[in-house]
Amino acid sequence: MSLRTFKTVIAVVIGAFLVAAVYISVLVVQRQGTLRQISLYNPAWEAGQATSEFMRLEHRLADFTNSGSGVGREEVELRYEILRGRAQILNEGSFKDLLQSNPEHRATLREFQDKIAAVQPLIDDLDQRPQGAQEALQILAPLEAPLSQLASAAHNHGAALVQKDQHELIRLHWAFSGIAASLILVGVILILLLDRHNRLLASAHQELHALAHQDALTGLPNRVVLRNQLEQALAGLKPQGRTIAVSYLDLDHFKDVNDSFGHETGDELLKAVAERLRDCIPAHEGQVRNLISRFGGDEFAILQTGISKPGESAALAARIVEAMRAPFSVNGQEIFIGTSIGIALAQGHVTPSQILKHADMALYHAKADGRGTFRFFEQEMDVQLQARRVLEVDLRKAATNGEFELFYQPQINISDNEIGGYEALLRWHHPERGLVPPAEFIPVIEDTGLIVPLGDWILEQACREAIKWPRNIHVAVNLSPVQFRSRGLVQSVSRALASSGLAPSRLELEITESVLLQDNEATVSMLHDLRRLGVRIAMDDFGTGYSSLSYLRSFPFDKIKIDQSFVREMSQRADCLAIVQSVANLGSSLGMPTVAEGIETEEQLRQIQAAGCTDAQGYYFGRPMPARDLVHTLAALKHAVKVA
Amino acid sequence: MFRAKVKTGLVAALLALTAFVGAAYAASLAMPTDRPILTISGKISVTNKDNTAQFDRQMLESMGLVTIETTTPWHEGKVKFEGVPMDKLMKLVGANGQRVVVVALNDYSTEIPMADFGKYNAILAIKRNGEYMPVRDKGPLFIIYPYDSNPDLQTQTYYARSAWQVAKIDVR
Repeated sequence: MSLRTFKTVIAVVIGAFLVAAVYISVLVVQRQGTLRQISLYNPAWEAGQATSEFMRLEHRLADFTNSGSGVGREEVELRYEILRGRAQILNEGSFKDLLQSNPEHRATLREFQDKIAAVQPLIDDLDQRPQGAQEALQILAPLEAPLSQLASAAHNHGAALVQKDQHELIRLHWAFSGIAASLILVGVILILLLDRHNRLLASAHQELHALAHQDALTGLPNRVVLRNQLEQALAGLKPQGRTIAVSYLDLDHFKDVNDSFGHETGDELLKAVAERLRDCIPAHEGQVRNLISRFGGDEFAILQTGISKPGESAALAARIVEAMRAPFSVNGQEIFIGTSIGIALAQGHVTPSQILKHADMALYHAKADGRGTFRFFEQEMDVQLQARRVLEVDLRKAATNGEFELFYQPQINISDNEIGGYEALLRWHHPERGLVPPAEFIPVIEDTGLIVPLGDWILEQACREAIKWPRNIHVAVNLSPVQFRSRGLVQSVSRALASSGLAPSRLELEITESVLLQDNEATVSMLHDLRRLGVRIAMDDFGTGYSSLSYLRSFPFDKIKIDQSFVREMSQRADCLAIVQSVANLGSSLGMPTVAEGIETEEQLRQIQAAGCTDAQGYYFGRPMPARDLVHTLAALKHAVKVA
Repeated sequence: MFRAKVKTGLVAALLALTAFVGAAYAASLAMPTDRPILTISGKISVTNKDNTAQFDRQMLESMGLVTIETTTPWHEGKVKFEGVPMDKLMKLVGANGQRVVVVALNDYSTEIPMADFGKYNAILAIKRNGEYMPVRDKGPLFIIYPYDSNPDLQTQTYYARSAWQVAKIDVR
């Protein structure tokens, strides 16, 4: 039965209920009326009274004839008047009904009244004619029998009427009982219907509950459930008792699956993952209870309660990581996807939000550790995160507060034995901490996107400085992969050149291979655009990372910078020297100059010179320094270094 | 449904005066000059003959009449009765009882609680529709309640208390 029909039925039943109740009250009123009616039927009494008065008059008349009885005319007259009154009453009310039902009785009454009327002159005249009393008695005597018959007829009539009313009462009684019974029936039906209604509501409620607490795709409990359970579990924790753990996991590179196979496959994969999680995570394990939930996207969370040592969580995480390593077969595709897990244990007074955040932080670190693994949350992670937050806040203020400065490190052209250019390096003067190491803040400005406006500032600052330098000394500026993503890079470079008036050939842009890793086509076309402006492009930190030679082919670089790690260990390790030599040779074959970075000793200089590098950079020639301290000749620089 | 109107006769002031006069003559009640039509006996303090209070029609009328217009079970349509308030009559004779037994000429008798008179303003009617009531038509005296004014009065209890051809009242 649909809810709508159901409501209609209930409405009808309630309507019937009301109608029955109203009808009952009508019946009660009718019954009252009938009962009152019954009490009004007293024709027998009227007839009896008439008969009795008739007899009394006869007596008085008889006494009157008998002188010495003391009954006078007045007494006879009073009795006569009373009888007249009685006779009159027989013409009225209920008695009239009786008479109408029977012509014989009507005749009797007429005769009675005629005869009574006939004796009036005799009674009025008693003083003059005492014998009138005797005559009156003779007139009245024949009425005795009919009057008694009338009285009994009246009695019977009254009885008949009472019986009729009793029948009516009985009928009303039955109607009343019937309606009362049907009221009870309707009530019972109503109760049954309401019960059913409640059940319908309960099941609807249950469905809603399921909707609100279950993830539609995988059928796993959702985050609401996990949160609730987590709250309860945390509230029930005892200081020295068993504890709980939240394991937060997400699929490695799930986005790639969505991108390459489509969302349908992605969803199927999520279902398969949920299935596999169910298979490898038992709901009960000794005292441990596990609750798997889908948090959204490709994120799942497992709540473990009743654990006694972290090892139990680690074992479960290891099992999950292992299980996820096996390929999934989805829509005829074989998909490899791993998972990373962050685990947080309830420590001290931790809130549900905090423990989830901790698990998330641990997950972040697990991913940073190379994915396909798990990490426990450590307080250090939180400290790092907080420190990073502080750093972020400070960095956002740094630009407007003028805390950034460019330092310049000379690059020596070996064949000219003179300063050929400077590499511009960003320095941050923290108002409290002083100079902050670039390795600490550069990743943050890249992650936060601050690098984009800051990069523009660096370009403009470097160009404006370089124009002051003699001999066409060039300036090298590092570009971050993030700047290439912003698309406005080419414009920024041309604007910096235009506003400073620096010849484009004096600007060198250093990029790492990570720039080429992303969206290759767009990046390469941007590089070409930059080249078209007349600026030079150098490949930085070559030899680290993939160092695929194909990068060198994908874009005609103007220069290769050999990573300083090779130079530093050249003296101790033959392989490093060999690599430096090879890259230098490669550069010369391709017609690209090669710069060796990190030259700190004269020996290293000799070695790279021998290897065939064209340029050198390092502390041996000078540390990065502010623009105002630049000397611009190697002689002066060497002097300065010696003095230092 | 019609409502019975209880007309307070001439003026309330006159009533008060009558009550005062009644109290002043408490010890003695004038003797009826005409044939008595009502005899009050029993627990009364004001008498005029043989420990009873006897009234002729004129004595009753001189007490001041009030009017009740009402329907009754014994008449067609609305009827106007004029009579002496029973309450007032009882006070006049110094009645000191809980109930009265009313006896009719035909020796019909009925019992009425004394409280009825004050509560319902019952009257001892002398006239119906402006005419004295003859014995042959429920006269000369008829106890009338204002039936139309209160549904409670439209029951057999009060109809039975409404004695006609009233001749005697015994206070008990």
